[in-house]
Amino acid sequence: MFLMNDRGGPKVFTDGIIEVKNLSSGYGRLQILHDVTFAIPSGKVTVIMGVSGCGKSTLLRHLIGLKNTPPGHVFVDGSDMALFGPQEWMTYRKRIGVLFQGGALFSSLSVRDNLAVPLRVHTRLAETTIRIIADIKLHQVGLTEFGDFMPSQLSGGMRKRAGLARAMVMDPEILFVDEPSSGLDPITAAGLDELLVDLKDAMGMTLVVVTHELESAFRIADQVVVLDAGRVLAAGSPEAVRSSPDPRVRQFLERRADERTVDQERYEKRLTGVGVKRRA
Amino acid sequence: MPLTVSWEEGGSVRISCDGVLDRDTVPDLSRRLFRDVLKKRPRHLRLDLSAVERMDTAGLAFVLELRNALKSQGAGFRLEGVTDSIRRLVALARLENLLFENS
Amino acid sequence: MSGVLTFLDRVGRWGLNHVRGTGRSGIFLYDALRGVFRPPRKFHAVIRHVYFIGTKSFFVIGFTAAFTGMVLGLQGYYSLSKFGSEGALGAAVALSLIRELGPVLSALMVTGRAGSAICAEIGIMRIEEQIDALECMAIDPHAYLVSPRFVASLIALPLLTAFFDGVGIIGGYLVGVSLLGVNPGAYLDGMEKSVEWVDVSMGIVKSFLFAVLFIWICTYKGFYAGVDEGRFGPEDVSRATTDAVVLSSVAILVSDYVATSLLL
Repeated sequence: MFLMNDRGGPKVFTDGIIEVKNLSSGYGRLQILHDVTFAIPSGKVTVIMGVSGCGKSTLLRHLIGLKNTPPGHVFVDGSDMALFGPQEWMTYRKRIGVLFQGGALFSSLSVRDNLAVPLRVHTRLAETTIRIIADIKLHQVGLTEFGDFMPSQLSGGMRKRAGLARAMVMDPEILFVDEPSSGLDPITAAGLDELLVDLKDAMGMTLVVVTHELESAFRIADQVVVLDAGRVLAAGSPEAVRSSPDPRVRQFLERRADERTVDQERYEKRLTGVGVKRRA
Repeated sequence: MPLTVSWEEGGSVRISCDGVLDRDTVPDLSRRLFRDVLKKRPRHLRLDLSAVERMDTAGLAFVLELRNALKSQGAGFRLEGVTDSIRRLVALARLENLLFENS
Repeated sequence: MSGVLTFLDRVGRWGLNHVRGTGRSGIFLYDALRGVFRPPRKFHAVIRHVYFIGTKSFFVIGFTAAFTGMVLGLQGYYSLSKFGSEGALGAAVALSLIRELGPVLSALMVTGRAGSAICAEIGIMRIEEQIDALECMAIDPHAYLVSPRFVASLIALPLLTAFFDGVGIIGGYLVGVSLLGVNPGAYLDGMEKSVEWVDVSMGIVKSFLFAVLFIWICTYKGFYAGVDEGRFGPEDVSRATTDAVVLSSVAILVSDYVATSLLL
């Protein structure tokens, strides 16, 4: 493993199941990602880290195909995602599982029926078998007793765990997880981290975890990608990233706040204008 | 997916699976097993998994379903040839107690 | 100069947005109709949505129908008695209901009750990333969410329209015969003689047309709630729902005129 930064020119991992090469992206005139390059190795936990608004979510939307990717930038097993037809998308999406930030449970279905949806659509399994699979997955996320609950009856953290159970229900090869531990108490969060590592070990799953929580990130990561303002600041093994001398990586790791001198000036200027008219 | 069923004296049956035991193969497999084997009310069933290349949660659920059906008929059930990867899968689902109780 | 340019810019953007919206809604309709014949199987979903649309609208339709029939009885009696032809009241009430008021008013009521609920439900699925989740599960959200509702509305609206017509005719009978003393035989006989198959078929064609229009607009508005703005908040769902109801109502009334002129 090695360290790379935006000045030295990022190197490309070669053993990646998914490779991102020089991806730039945005919404309209607003550019969010700048020349992002990294690879997601198979059977490992890759953690994409960064502060809010650094472009992690946009990057994730590219990887799961919810945002169009221009040709030549994202490759799955060596084939260009931009050239996928409907059949290739179908195949790819049967290989992946996604946990969305809010869980994205179907509000009209019970938790167990939520888990059953992909099984009912994509397989010919009997209802009894589907029920067993759903209950196994619910137990793994610690929601054994909540199969009959409606999503609206669950707390935010429970909804997130139910969403994770649904994402795992098809035993995906690649699991994408958006902010697994935000909104969870520390004990549940640690349990969830343990589960993610177990999934990797027992099923050989490839995990892509997007998070801003350092502690959890370093607990589970085999590889870390640090994003800052849409650029890859550092990527490599957790140890390498942790010992990086780059001041901006250090700032992120040590949770120092930005020094916002410019903003302060503007702020003062804005406030000193107030009330001038009233005095006159 | 190939399935070998061999009846032994005294109504015990030994079944060995090979190939892939996943959500695509389980529907046919379970229909066949429930129709051909369980209807004949075996006294004891041994399921040999040593030749299974790959198994997913659907396969695991199928094994559990088979176990439950046999238990409700009052018959014995035993898993054989459990490979390391299957053991890890069972451990991940915390089903050791149910599936390995008399192996 | 810059004012002119800004103006042109705005007009251009407005035009482009509408062209894009029209194209997208056409593709949406195509996907929804194609989804009817694609997996997943949707028999149960269709039954559930027929039930939903039916129960949501049943009472409000019965209520509206009764009063519409009654007021037709009153007005018809007043107009017809000027020519001394009160006996034609049954025909007048039945024809206005079957050809015109039944399909239009049922469609408007169903839009207000069930259409708005459907739009809000799908809109919430959009803002809570449930539609994204479906896509990531390799499930076509058109086939899964929209197509069953299309089929259900094509079943439910004609049935509700027939119910509307029936209740309306009874309402007209109550006012005309029981209250104003029209001969009951004349009411029923006139109705039977004057209502022909073309009248009934016009009502049926209209109710199918309105069913497609309202469900298309309501599901489309919900499906793309907040998408153009790139932000997904509750206010986008409420705006989509209002838009859907207004646009559906206008579309129903305009297409009613067009359909009538074509079918006459």
